[in-house]
Amino acid sequence: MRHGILVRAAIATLARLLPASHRPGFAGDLLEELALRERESPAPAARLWLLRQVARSVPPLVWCALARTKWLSTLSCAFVAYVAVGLTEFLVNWALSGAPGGGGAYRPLGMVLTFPAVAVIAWAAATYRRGAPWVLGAMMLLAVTVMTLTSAENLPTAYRVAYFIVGPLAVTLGAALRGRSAAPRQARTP
Amino acid sequence: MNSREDPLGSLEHVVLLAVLRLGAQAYGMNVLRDIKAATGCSLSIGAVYATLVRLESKGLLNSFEGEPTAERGGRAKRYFRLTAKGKAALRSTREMLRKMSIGIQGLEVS
Repeated sequence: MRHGILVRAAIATLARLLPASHRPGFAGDLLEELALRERESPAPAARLWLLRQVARSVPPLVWCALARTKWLSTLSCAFVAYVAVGLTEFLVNWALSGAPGGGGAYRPLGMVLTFPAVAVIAWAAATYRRGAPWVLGAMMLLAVTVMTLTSAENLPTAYRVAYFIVGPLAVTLGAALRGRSAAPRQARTP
Repeated sequence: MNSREDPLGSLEHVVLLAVLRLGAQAYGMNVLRDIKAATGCSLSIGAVYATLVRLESKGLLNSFEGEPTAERGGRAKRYFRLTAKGKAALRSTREMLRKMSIGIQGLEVS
């Protein structure tokens, strides 16, 4: 049975938090149960079940990924990466503030320019500690949540929502690229 | 499990029991289904896998790959099996719980 690209992407992203040997089993289990539920109940209900499973699986799997790494160095690496992201954002916004229409907090161009930089930073962090990008993503989500709740600036809703998506997406991309480039070397390791 | 080893956590205990109950059919989603059927407790597949991976790293379980199927998008099942150390941990935990329960009143199931 074929599933949408979003379903497969969500499952593949989650599976990456597990050791390589368990990823096909995990992804296959979810697809098997989804197919079973799609036969027995309406498709939206089956998709809702999958969405819940994915959402509820994130904390234990992130924890599992971190537990396999060395804690302190992972946290330190993520912190350095977070500072690098903050510095990048500052420099981009500073550069744009001199551009026409660059004033204020609403800078979609800044978000676009920061995206590849964050992906590269996540890629570099994953080079040193495999779990660091996921900690970095969690730190960015936390920071955006706090800023959204406390900021009095009148920003468009789409811009606020994009802030929740763009950062973690860039981090995931960086980590995935690092994982892809490291995969052939891992395959040779017994 | 000897006195120097960590005791099993409650989720580890339940997952080990499910693997033992399922025998040759113990793979992630079946473990989830068995726990749900036996206890009514609805876990996430992520919590089950995180626990299975942890138990494997402790040497209480080992795992092997089954045959891939079309229904699973061509992905193979990963089956889990208790090791001798895993069985010893279950026995030890059961004994610990039995000893701790001696003399306790007021917890009878109605």
